[in-house]
Amino acid sequence: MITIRKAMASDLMAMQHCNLSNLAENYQLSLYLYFYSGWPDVSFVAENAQGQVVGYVLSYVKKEEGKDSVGYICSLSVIRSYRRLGIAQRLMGQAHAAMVEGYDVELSTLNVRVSNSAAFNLYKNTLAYE
Amino acid sequence: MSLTITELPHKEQALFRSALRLYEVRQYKKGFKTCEQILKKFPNHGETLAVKGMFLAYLDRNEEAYTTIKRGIEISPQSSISWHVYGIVCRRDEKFEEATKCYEEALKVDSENVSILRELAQLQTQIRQYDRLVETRARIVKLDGNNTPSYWLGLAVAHQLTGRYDLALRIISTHENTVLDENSGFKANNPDYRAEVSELLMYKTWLMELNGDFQMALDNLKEIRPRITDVTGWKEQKAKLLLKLNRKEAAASAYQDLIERNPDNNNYICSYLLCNGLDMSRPEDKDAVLEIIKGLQKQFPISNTLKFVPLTFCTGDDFVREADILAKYSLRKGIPSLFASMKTLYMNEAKGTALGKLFEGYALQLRDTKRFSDSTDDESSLVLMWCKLYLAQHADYYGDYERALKLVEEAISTSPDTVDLYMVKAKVLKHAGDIRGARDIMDFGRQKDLKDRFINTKTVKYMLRNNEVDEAEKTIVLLVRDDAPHKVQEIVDTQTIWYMREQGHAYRRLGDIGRALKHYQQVADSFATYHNDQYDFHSYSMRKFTVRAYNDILKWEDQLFTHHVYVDSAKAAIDCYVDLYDRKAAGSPFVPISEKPMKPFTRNGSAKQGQHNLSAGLGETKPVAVDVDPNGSKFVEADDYLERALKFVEVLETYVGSQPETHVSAFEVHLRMKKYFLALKSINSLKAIDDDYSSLVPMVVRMRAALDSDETFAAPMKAALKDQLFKAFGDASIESTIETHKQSLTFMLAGAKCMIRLGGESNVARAKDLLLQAASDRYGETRTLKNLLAAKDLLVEAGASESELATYATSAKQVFALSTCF
Repeated sequence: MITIRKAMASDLMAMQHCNLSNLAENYQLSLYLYFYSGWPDVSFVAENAQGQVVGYVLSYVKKEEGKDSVGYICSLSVIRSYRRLGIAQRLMGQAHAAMVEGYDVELSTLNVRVSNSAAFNLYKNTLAYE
Repeated sequence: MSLTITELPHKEQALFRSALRLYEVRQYKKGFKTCEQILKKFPNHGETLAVKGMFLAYLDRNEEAYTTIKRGIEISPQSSISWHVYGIVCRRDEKFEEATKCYEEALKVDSENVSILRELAQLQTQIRQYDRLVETRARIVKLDGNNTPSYWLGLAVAHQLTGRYDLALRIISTHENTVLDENSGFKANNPDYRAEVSELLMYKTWLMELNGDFQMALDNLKEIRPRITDVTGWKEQKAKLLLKLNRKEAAASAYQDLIERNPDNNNYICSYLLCNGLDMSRPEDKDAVLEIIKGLQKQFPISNTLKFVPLTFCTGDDFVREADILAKYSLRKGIPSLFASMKTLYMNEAKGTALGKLFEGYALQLRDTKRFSDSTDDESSLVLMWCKLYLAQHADYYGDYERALKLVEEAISTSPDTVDLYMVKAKVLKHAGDIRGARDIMDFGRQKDLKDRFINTKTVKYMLRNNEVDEAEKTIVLLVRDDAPHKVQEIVDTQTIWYMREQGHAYRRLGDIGRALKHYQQVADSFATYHNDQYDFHSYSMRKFTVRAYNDILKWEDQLFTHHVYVDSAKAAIDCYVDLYDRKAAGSPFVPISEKPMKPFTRNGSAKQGQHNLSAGLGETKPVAVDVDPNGSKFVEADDYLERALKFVEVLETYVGSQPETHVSAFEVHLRMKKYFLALKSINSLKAIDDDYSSLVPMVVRMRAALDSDETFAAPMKAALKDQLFKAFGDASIESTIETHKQSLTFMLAGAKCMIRLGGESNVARAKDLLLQAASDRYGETRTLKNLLAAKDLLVEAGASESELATYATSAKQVFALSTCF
């Protein structure tokens, strides 16, 4: 059973572990702390029945003076053995909703390696990123 | 006599001020030279010396830095600048306690310096001196004439951290208008600061809740809604408060609203049931709960959580019916984690059996008719494949490895390119004790998808379990980002703690204590960094207003060292240091191993390099940054093994004192340090947690022996300690405790280990006899792979002969037929 919920400080190490196991873009924990502490309401995790983090989305919002807020998906990852459950899509759904409701974000952006075909398809086809 | 700055000539005064400015703009070399210029004329100017010392620290000349600063302070002990500078350098070296004292000294002379007070507040938070923090924060607010929000918010947080929620609320009420009032000209009207305003308002509501004023909190919550950016947080808070106020109907609709936003949250679902007076864990509520869940399932067909929930509380036929729905859905969809999610249900034996039967039935139906018995459509062959994979994991769970392998092989023959199948097969082999085979299969799976870091990570882990440290390193760097200047260093820099720990364990098994300690220390260093990471947030979070998240960070940091990777690495490091100490004491000290072992170490000598496709990027690997201590000789050549071990012991005692093994590790160090009272304390702490723990009596026996053989220890104290041991344990002996637990291999291992440690021909011989029987039937289920491997290691330690080891291996293979690790 997977639960999707807001990320907490006690999830950050598990998010880092998930990221290091899955992706090539890795960060020190201080970055996770910085995003969490700056924008605590736009990052989410997926947790399995044993309480392990099996997926996360780490995001933040930037607002430049006089301009609209822009949402950034810094990193999104789901552990391979938990694929096909729609976890990534659900995590992104929560992050998008939080950005739109809270920050009136009209645009959100992300970077993806073209070689990461699973992620690329999710963003392009399911979530309609351009 | 010391000269103050104002007593310097104008020119030097100007130079001094420019040195301070250079510090602020991080021009350390220039700053250093400026100080030198002043000192040429006034070599004994204390403050200049102190500032010069600070520049030295930033130029990484630490030793000179401290002597220079201390000389400066000796000359002008009344200078706040000198003390401040000393504090800055201590803080930079993460000596937070010392830094705090320096700042306090600086304030004695310069009591109204807000920037010193602010830094002191950060330090006091870092070392959790919350009572003093309140004083410091109050002084800052008092001195500040501008109502600076981060100052009064800091004071509110300080009150809250000491549990005075009422005072925290009062501070906010007094000052909040500077932020919230539309005429204040501050942030409230500026859309750029909406999030800050929202966080402040939410914090205030949370304080009301902490203070027990639920109704007030709820009323406040409703009022602030239009200004809230954290909508999820607001709705969760509202639902929680309604439930606390026992307003169940309103709470139910609040949770209904949350479930609509996110139907995959178990907490929402449980709370929604609570609002309806229902509890999943109460059997008598089952029918009513099921009815509600069915209703929600209809409303939210997309939710995976709602599909699974009934399996947790249904039993008997209901369980089978619900499991059937979820299983068929998942098999048709090909969800690889199906067994992983069902696994939690296996705690209940009947459910495990029922699931086995259910899937066995599917396998037969699909094999014979290509259909499920209740369906008229043919299923794809992949459905049977996933079903077999499930059954393989089911067999693995019950220890039937041969059947598990047969099933997973069948699945592979249907779909040879599905990577998940190899991951399961490798896991089964690992459980069966074929560590080498497990690694080969995982690597085979990896070759099916060379770009996937997850299978790469798994392969690296399995290689390390097989002690292939070099191969593991070659493999992990394949998927480290290409633009990293030094790929091996990148793994350390990105805090890949699982890898550090596994490397440590692999080197330890290979007998390379130096390299093992090096990697355990990398883990410890990463955790030290995690711990220091919080420092900046003691001020940043006040400026960002995100103090709820900040509280969450503090809470996490306070239990950081309970993390299993830290605890495991710390215990292993203690063992290594104790090992180094014992070898030295026995006259055969460990010598650092200069060359990396070229071949993986396997006891059956059949190690062969697998086939690897390394062309995927290894060629671009740049040379590794110069590693000043490649083989960990720094640790081996230290002369304070036990002191180093003690540092780890102290952390474990502070954070995981509730775990029995903490006190076992502590005992080993205290005993060797001849700190008998502390050793007794470890015994007593262990006894308090579990008075029937396998290592307890062995510790008592070794303590007695140590006291008997220590002739330098004062007789009266010796008698007192022995008396205490006698009162608590009588004449308990290894033989008697092994006899009492004669079906437990765990107790036998603890006893045999103790005998080996005690030494003496007869003890060691007895231990060997016992250990050679480790695989015998009497030990039943306690013959885990881990225990049997531990027996083998102890046999080697006890000096068992080749033929004795071979006999033992044969007996262990009777328990783990597929194993290759004995």
